[in-house]
Amino acid sequence: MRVLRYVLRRLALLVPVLLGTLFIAFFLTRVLPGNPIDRVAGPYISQEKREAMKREARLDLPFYQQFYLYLADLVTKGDMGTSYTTAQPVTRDLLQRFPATLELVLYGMGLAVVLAIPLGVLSALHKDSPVDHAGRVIAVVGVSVPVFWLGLVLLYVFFLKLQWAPPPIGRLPPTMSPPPHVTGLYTLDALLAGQWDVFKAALSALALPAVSLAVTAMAPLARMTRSAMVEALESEYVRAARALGLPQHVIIWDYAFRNAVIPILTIFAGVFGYALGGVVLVEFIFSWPGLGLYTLNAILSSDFPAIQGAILLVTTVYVFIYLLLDLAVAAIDPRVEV
Amino acid sequence: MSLLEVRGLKTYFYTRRGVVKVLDGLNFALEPGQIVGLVGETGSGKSVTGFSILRLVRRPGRIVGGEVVFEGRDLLKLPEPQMAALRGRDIAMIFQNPRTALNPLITVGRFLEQVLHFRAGLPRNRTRDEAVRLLSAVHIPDPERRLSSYPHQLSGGMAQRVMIAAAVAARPKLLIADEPTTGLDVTVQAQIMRLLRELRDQTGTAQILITHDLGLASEVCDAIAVMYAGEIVEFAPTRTLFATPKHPYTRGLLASRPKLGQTGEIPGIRGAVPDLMNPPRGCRFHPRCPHAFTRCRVERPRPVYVSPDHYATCFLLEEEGHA
Amino acid sequence: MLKRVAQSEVLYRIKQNPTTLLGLGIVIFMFGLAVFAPWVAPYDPLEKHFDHVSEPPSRQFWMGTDQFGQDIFSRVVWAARLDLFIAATAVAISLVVGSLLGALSGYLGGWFDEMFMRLMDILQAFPSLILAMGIAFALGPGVFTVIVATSAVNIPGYARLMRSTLLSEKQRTYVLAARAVGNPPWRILFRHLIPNALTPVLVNATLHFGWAILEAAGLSFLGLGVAVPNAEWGVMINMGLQDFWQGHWWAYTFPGVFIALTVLGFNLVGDGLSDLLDPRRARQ
Repeated sequence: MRVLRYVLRRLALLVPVLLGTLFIAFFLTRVLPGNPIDRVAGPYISQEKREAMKREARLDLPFYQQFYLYLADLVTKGDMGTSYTTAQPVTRDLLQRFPATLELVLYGMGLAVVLAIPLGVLSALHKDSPVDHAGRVIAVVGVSVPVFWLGLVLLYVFFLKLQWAPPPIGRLPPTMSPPPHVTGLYTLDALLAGQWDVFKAALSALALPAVSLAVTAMAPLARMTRSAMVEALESEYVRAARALGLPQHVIIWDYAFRNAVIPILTIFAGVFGYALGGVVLVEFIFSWPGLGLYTLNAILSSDFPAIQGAILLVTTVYVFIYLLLDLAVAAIDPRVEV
Repeated sequence: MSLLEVRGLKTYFYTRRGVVKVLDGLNFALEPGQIVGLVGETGSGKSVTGFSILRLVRRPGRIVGGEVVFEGRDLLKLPEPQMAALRGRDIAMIFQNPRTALNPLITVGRFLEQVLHFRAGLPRNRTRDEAVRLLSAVHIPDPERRLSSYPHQLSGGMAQRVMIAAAVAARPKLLIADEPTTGLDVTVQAQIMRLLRELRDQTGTAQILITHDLGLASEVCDAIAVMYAGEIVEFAPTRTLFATPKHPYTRGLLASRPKLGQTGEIPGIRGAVPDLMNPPRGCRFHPRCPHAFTRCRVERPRPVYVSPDHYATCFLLEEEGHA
Repeated sequence: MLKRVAQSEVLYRIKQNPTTLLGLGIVIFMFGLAVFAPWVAPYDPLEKHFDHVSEPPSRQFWMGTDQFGQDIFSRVVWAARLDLFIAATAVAISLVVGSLLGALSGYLGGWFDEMFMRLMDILQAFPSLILAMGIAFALGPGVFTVIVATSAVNIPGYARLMRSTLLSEKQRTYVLAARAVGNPPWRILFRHLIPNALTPVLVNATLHFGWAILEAAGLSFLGLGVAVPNAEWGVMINMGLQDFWQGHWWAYTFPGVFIALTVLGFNLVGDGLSDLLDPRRARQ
């Protein structure tokens, strides 16, 4: 009950942040060069028709009225307007694109965690040893490599040369139809439907983009794991546990790692949030039909409703990640009151 | 045979600015069931002595020489796994700030049960009852309920009781208590000291009490080692030490204690603790010693026994004809 | 005296740390390339050798040529100049603007501080690359655009850092003392507070430098930054992408290696610096 009240209070606090981002998105799109109507309509449409389109898109109204009406539609009907380019409701577009990005980011981040945390723990346990130095080098190289270039190099090696990976043309080969929609995450849906071939195809399409994301996300995670572990291992309670002769595995996991988890989670939330935006670079290379590519195309074609919707969605997810983080921290740390 | 005998223990800290000789040839012994106080100012090397015995000195510190003989075995020569097996089971330690010495993320119950399972070798199904028994043994009210408390929910005194409970869980033969009552209320201090004493009386656990408070040490210790700048300058049974202190430093310490009904200025020891990176030549106390003479400035004094259980490292005693 | 000791110790520890030295070497090398680009590069970066289109590395073209017959080595070298210029300017702008705003906010406090920090919350909740993309598109392609977009998204970070260090410095005794002897507030801010809060900000700037290069190259790679066919690393990778299916690996590999090396250099130096200046580590 207390947790629920806390969540509600936090959600209430999020409203102004989301309103603020939406306002900025609105403002940015309105100063974008290029009249979207001209672009959509093309040169052969009459002036009256243009005016009608403009009215329908509410672009004839003053800025604040556009904002107000947009909000009203969003809150009452969940309507974010219609995309100029896809001619579909933006809400529907987003629901189609978002799972693609989510699946990619989840795999990428999952991989990063699986690689980075053992690396960080190992480095901390063998501080200043060759393992530690190697881990540091791996981490700092990983964060220095441009993700879009890494994707290309991986593609060159594993697709063009070795032909292990599928071509960079989206989530599934064109000959294959997606699994029945449940979550929108193809690997999960394929498993639920028992379609092994689809699962394997979706997984191999995910491999290279997920690895690209993971390599760049690994570095901050590994570094934070290392420093948080080092700090915990040098703490008074670890020294006390040693003095009591508690076994090494208890000291490492129940004492050091448990205390290191909170800073690691905090960094993880940041990395995850950054990946939600940065994923556009990966989607661009792998023609991944996700939110990033959608946003990029929307920006390039002055598609106001699409830009606003995409930004609103990404920021919402972003702030939710932080809400989840705070809940997780409260669950782990008894000193944090919810 | 002594339970513990420390001989020529040297622990140096290798900092970037140079080598700090925190302990430079420390000697003392402890009999089974005895409580010995290690008394000295901050920076005299008391805590490092405790950590050196358990081989838990942190980098950049390192034990570079000497012997720590516990029940006939030199701990400094034991392989680490055997040393780890000994910690908590034969020798345990409690710390200065009990609240930072407890893992903030696990409950008292989980902590004690871990210690009981891994150190006292109790099967998992018996640890809970034993944890309750331990908590009531250290006089924690409502022990059942306390099992689910987290360290931040405990008072300092309560946290120290929990630490003590954990430390004695495996019935060690030696307990090292590093400033166990610093930062606690005076009444709580007294309770903790009483508890430690009671522990010795009931289970015969020998103890090393590390403290800067001579008065506190005098209340519970059978013998006291006075430390100055990494050396024991005087060692004697408590009563003897108070009655006939031999080292000028000990005398200074005793004189600087306020007495009831005393008026006027309290005499202190002039000067400050020396820099251990460049300790004074000869006797480390000579710059502050009112009786220092030429020999003190060049030669290092060795322990002089005034009786079989009382020694001090001071040339004055040799002059008096004790050597 | 104390300062001299501190300085010699910093030098000593830099020498002790081979990776920081390596990073410093890379950074100096890249700046060297940037400064001496006209003498290092064998060709004009925009010169099209039409009879040498998309050639693999050879003795004549060390890193091959792109689809317009431009010499990739010359372009990579000239790009060092452009990319370092963009990153340096972007870091400088976000540092100065962010720090000043943060300092002002922290110093003034009250409702201004409250409002300002809420605005920073909002800007930071905004996905940074998407914000940069929006700004970049609004301004149209060009070097100036990349600089503005790259610096704008980092202003909140500096503002926050400056504000928080300032707030902790503000409580220190020396500030109270300066106030007690009647120094005017602006003077305390500029003479005492800002200089003392600058260390963490500068360490952050070194680490941020590499990140700015990645961000700027990313924008250009997406076609929102420096225009094709200018010699810029991100642009070159974008152009290489067009040639990807033909297997012309050299077109994107070399510019990517240069980005990675430069960023690595700055990260190594930044890591070394933050280790050095971290008071917790310095105590040991």
